[in-house]
This record gives sequence, C-alpha cells and structure tokens, in this order.
Amino acid sequence: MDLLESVSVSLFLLAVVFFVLLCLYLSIRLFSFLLKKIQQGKLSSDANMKI
Amino acid sequence: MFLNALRELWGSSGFAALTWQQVMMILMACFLIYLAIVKKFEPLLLMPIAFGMLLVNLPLTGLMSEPGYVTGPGGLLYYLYQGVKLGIYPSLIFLGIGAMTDFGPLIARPSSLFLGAGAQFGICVAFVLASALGFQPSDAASIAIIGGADGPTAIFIASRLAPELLPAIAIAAYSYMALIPLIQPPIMRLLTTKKERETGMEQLRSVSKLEKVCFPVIVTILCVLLLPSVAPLIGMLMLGNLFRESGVVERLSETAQNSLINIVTIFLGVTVGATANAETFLRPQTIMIVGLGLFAFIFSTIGGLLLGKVMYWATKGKINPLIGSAGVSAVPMATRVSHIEGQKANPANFLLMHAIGPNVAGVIGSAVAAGVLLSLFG
Repeated sequence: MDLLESVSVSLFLLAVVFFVLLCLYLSIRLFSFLLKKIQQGKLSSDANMKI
Repeated sequence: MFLNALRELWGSSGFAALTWQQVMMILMACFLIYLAIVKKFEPLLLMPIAFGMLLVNLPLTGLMSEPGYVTGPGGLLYYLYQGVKLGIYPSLIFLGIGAMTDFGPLIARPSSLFLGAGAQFGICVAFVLASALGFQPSDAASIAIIGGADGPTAIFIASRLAPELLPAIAIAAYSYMALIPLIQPPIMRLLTTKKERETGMEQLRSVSKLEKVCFPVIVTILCVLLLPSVAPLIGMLMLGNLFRESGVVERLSETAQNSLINIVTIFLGVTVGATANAETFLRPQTIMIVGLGLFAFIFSTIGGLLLGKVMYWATKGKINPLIGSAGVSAVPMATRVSHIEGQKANPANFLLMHAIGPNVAGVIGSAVAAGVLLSLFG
C-alpha cells in the first residue's frame, strides 16, 4: 500500500468515526428534546386538569 | 547404568530442549511479573499475560499444541485460546465494561462524543506510519488500533487481522495504558495554555432514568445499522449497560461486572501471553510495533486535545480542553489524568465528571474504528 493510499484509508476511517458519532450526537439531542417536550406537555395537561 | 539413566532423564527434561530464545522470553516474563506486582502496571492483565508467556516458553509442555495424531488431544491453553481466536473474550470483556460504565455524563453533554472521535486520530497516524514501514494493510490496521487505547478492542482486531502480531500488540496496548499518567501530562501542558487549563466547567444536568435506559438501545440500533461489523463489541457493551441501567436484572449486572469479567480476564490474559513464544515474539517487528504503539497513543492524545481546544473556542471558554485527552479510551485512567492536570492549574477545578463523557465516548469511538478496519481488511 503506497503512502497516498494509506493516507486516504486513514482519512476515510476518521471520517466514518466522526459520522457515526455525529449521528449518535444528533439522536441523543433529538431524544432529549422529545423527552423534554413530552414532559412539558404532561405538566401542562396536569395543570389544565387542576383548573 | 546409573549414568545412562541420568543421561536419559536429562535428555527427556525441559532443560535439554531449552533454547537461548526461550531463556530470553522467560526472563522477559519474569520482568513483566515484576512490573505487575511491584510497579502495579495494569496487574490484572499484565500478570496473567506474563505467566502465560512464561508457561508457553517452557519447552515440551505442549500447552498450545493443536490436537492431532502425534500431539494427542491438544494443550489446555490451545483450547482456552479459541476464545481469543473467535473474538469471544474481548466481547465478553465489553459486556462487563458496559455493566460498570455510567453513560450519564455523556448523555448530559453529548458533544463529548466529538472528543472521543478526535482521540482516534492516533489510529490514523499509526496506520500511515506502519504502512510506510512496510507492514501489510491488515497488520498496519492491527498495530494502529493500539492508538484507541482499548485493550480488548486491540486484541479483537489483532486476533482477526494479524494473529501472529497479537502478543506484541496486546502487551504494547496494555503497557501504554498503564503509562498514561506519564505519557499524557507533558503533551497536555505543551498543547494548552495556562488560561485554558484553568477553565472551570459548569455542573452537568441530571439525566433521567428513561434516558439512561434508552441510551444503550439507541446506540446499538444506530451503530450496528450503520456499521454491522461493530455488533460484537458495541452490542455487548450496550447489553452490559442495559443490565445496569434497567435495574431489573441486578444479578446479571453484578455477574457481568464482577465474576464474568474476572474469569474472562484470566483466560484472555493467559492465552494472549501464551501466544508470545520465542519464534514469533523475538523479531525486529516487535520493537517496531512497540514504537508505533507509542506514536499512536501520543497522536490520539493530541487529537483529543485539539478537538478540546476547538470546543473551548466554540463555546467561548466554557469547556476545558484538558478533558479532550480523556477521549482515548483507557477507562478510568485517562479521566483521572485530565482531572489531576486540571487541579494542578486551578485547585478549584473538578473535571472528573466532565472527563468521563469523552472517556466513554472514546470506548465507543475505538469500537467504531475497529469496525471500520474490520470491514476494510477483514
């Protein structure tokens, strides 16, 4: 394997690692956001019920 | 007659069959046992590895012999080694690690994932260097994974891609993991300013149980769908974590993080050590692997720190770049090093909880890197 090839494999490896972890980051953020919204919705419906 | 009997006894003993290379290996094994006991360098793994090395270099034991007509039913360590060869032990170790790990800090600050990704930079540098030095791509990949600072992952990849290099890679990986408190601090001080190291960080938000329970399921689905070859490592890691966080299988969680991981560590250590026989270990390649492993480690630390600096600038000084160096897996040693360096710069700094996020992200990152290498060269 020549230098150019090994450098491209390395960059590809790093790019895939970043991509997978970026997807994980986005899914954690999305999940936390949805959870927060659901909890807020629950709280507001509880408040409505009290009224 | 008495002399003949003595001669026969000597001839059939191990002393007559002992070569100077085996003597060298036995001495090296004794040195590693010394390091494990006296210097406490990763003793949990170094001691079984060293003892396996000692056993296999004593002649005529046949402990690693394959079963055959001449050799008989095969040696004890040959059978135990199948767990390494088939990638069973590293995955079971990951199950235990998952059961021991709290992913809460990572969920509270998911941007830590990028630090874990940045700290895989050393794998790339080591791969290029190993290829330039003439190693085959699969060998170069196995050597490069030392930069992931994750022993089980290094063993998993080496056993699949370069079984003949396994002992050198395992010993290099675990030695550098033990040497993290010596390797990382000078690089951390070199790459960060005093002002950056002094940065205090805000307390992390609390993470709900629902988030912690859903995390391993989401990670497994996402990672395995994106990269099916990571399934043995990520799958087991996340199963262990689900045992822990679900709270309904206390016994399984206890077993995974204590008895199971201890038993597997013994088998893994002894059999990896047993692959280090004189013929395969005493070669110039071994020294090159040890050197490349050091480069991989150094560049992984640099990658994590540089990403830490980027996050420091991006958040206008809210993130201490020192937590970036914890992106190399090596749980929990790398976390402690970040914390200690932070406290040296500012005694009021408490980085322990903040560095756990990048540290566990590093475990996921190195498993993903391993999956990519397996897909490319497996």
